[in-house]
Amino acid sequence: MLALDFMQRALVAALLVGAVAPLVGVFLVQRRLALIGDGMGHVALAGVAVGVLTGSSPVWAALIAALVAAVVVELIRTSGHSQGDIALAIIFYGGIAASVVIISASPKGTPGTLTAYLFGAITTVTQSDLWIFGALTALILVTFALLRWRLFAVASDEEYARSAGLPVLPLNLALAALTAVTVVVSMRIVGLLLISALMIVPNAAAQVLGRSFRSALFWAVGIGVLSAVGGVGISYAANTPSGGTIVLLAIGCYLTAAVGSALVGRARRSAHLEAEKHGHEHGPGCGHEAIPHDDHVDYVHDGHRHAPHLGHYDEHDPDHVQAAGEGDSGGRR
Amino acid sequence: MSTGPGAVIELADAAFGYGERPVVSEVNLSIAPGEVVAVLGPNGSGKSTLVKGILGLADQFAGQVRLFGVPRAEFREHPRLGYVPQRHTLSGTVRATVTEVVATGRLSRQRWFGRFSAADATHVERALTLVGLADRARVDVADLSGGQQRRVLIARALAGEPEVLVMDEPTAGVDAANQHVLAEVLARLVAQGLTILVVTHELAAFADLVTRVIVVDNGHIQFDGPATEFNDRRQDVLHDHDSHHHDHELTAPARQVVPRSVDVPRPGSRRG
Repeated sequence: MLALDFMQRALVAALLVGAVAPLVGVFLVQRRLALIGDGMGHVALAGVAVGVLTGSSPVWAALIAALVAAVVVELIRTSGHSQGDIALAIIFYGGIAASVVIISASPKGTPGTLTAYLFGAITTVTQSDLWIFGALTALILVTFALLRWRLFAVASDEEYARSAGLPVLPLNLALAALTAVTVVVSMRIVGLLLISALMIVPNAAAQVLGRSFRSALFWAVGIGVLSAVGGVGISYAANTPSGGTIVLLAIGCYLTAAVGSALVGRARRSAHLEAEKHGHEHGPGCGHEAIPHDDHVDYVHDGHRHAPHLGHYDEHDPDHVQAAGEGDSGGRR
Repeated sequence: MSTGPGAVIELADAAFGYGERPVVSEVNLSIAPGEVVAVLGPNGSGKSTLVKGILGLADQFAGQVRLFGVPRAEFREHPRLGYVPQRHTLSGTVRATVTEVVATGRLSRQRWFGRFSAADATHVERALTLVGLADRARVDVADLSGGQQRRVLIARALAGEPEVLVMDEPTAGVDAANQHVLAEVLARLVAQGLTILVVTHELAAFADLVTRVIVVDNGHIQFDGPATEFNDRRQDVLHDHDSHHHDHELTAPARQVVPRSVDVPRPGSRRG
């Protein structure tokens, strides 16, 4: 299947989308805007319809529509107007309604055209699409590399970011524009109805697996690439729409991660002993001997070792002691 | 209050609020370097709005605000002013380690194309050490207790190397052990010569550190003077009986009765 031109193009497009969508999506997850990409997909579809009707490139038309929607949506959100939510709904549904009507009116429009744009199709990536996607992906990666900690800061505490003099509105607009560009890069392979899923679901799985913002991002990109490339492959073999296949794979990853971590968590909890109630906060200079230990510091308290855990202290995990090859003088007995 | 050229924060007839309505007005205030100022007052009195106005987070309706001698609108040296917002929890929707959150405090000192340098990392470490969380640097902030999360917020502000630290209710909802730690952290900052403006309900926690007290009530400054003078006139200026209706935190004497630090092993607390 790799010998087929269209498959090569589809796999390259999948690689780009799988890597980029979770990078942008993590900030949407952080800001509780998981569904905003969905709305932008709706508006981009209206751009596609105009492209189909006029015979111009649907990708460029979609990009313009999505970017305009991104800016308008962000400004409406920032205004905090009481009717803002309804305004967003009107924009999003207006987009999808217009696109359906315009496509049906265009001579080249068929239900098949619409389905391919909504749910993704591997045969539709053209060589010129690929160049555009490549350039847009490079743009997203550079912007992400430059702005990621500022976007993180604004998304985690907007008020603090403002007090620190960060340009909050421009950063939020930049994120909206990144979302719009990602939507367009994904439109061929994932489809405009499902693109939001590839921004959000790999991050949902990564939040289960990662231990920091940074490591969760690596997981998210890995899962994104795996789902997108794997989804395209399965889509070819099983003759299914690529977008749906990709998203189902990503959801499979999430469920595996969630169930796996729940099982591991249960196993850990049964081997977990909380130290006695503790009116004292261990820390440097607290008077108790501190023993650095892997990623945390234990404190020797009244002859036994306390390890910090979730705002309380655990009696030292006996497995750790064995692993460290120390006598179990203070561990659990 | 002396109004001198050296004032770090200077307000003249200032009024702050949100939307259409000023919440505090006719504020005249000058804070000199090295002062430790507590802003007291019942809930809804406007004390939080006052500090947010100083930081540019609330709308300004009247008067002048000068920071380090520069009018607020022209002020660009944001890192000199560190802000610790009132948050009951830091846990967000995504994972973030203590170090990652505190590192955002360096952003205001970084250029757009600058990378996170070794010097930045040193300041983050130093800030974490100051608040006593160096041992939790790589922990997810969501896994910390409320009091520890407050200290993460303080460390974030400290990472930017501020000269003035503005704190909004750092002790609200924090248990006794952690309040004690917070007070120790503050004492360390005072010893380093930081100017501190702290909005609080629980003056008791910081009583030894505060040099000056400002009482805000009903959108106006009702008292502004040295801490010693405030202690003498406390009953006249701070209407505790009034604030019972607004604020349950003030009415929680139990918090002061609980021993601050329990180091002694309690019999029967563990097997062995």
